Amino acid sequence: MKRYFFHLKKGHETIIDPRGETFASKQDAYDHGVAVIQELMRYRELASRSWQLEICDEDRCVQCRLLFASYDPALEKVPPQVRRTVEIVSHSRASLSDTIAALNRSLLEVKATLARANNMPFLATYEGQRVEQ
Amino acid sequence: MTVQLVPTKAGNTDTALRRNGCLAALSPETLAHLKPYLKRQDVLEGTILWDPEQPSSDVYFPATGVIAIGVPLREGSNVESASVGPEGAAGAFLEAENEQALTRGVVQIGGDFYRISAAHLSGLPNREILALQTFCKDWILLQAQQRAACNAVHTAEQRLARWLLQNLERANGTELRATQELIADALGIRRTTVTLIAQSFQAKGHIQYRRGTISAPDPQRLAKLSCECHAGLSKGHWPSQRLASFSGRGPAHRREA
Repeated sequence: MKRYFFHLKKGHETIIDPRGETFASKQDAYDHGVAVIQELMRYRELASRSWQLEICDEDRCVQCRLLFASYDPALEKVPPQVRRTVEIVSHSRASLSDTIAALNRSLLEVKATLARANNMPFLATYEGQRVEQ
Repeated sequence: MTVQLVPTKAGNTDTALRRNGCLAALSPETLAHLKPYLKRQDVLEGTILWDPEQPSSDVYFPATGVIAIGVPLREGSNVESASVGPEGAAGAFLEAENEQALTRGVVQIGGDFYRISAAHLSGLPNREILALQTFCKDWILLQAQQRAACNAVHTAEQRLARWLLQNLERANGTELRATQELIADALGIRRTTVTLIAQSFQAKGHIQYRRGTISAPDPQRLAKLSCECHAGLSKGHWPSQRLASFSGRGPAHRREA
């Protein structure tokens, strides 16, 4: 039995699963992840298509990254090419959010480093995580 | 499935009994009649009070805990269709006479409960007792109707916020003892889903979660995340409040309780 962690990335926000769950196989962990996606996106499919669920193993290594749009039941009946287009757009939007979040984090780190050098106060944590790595 | 009830040494003082809103709303005469039959017990979380295979002949008045009422299904789930805390009572009177029991009552949040035989409760020819039973049944029916609509259209996030608000209100404060497993069972969703939503609420300062205790520094902020179902289950519908109005025992009495 191995422990897997399910981290949610929604827009600029990353929500960490600190507890995880144990599963007999990677496939079981994947099935659990898909079920969690379906519960989280139910009745908010359009707004959550660009969210992603990262499944990490005990060493915190990312095993897979699941895009919500790929599990949207509302897209099951649309032609495959339309579904693929929605997935590509959602994936691009998720990547853009990741980039913006990384950029914001870098800016905060630079500001914190400069403030520290000048013995000035700086933002130590942002959304529950240390700004300076 | 065994019922684990641990008798407590404490006696049935009026002050202790009145921690349950319905008992608090009864007139002193009615309460005095019931008092000899009310047994105070510490009930552990997860205790099954009744189910279709073991129907109960008792009625439970939670003083501090909460009973979740659901319909057990073959695959083992028991999704909550209503819950009753210190604002009401639940038990034998929920099932129609001579009918197979359908529901299961499980202690969702352990605490002090008062138990009385349904025969003793119904045996008292008193309009207050009839009103009590009617208001408690109404409360459970109202919740079941609301949950059916809520489960059909609201997101897991909204439902979790609603569940937290309802139980914080019952706890009469801003702090609640509940595990994420318990909340997941009540809402019929996975524990991971509850963890992710709770982490999001916590990061935004809506709740604080520490060692099984959940607190909401500002319940109004949580209310904005909840669906409208929370407002539909407001205190005005509580059996304790309706019984207090029926008995002509106003807010001053409830404050004393």
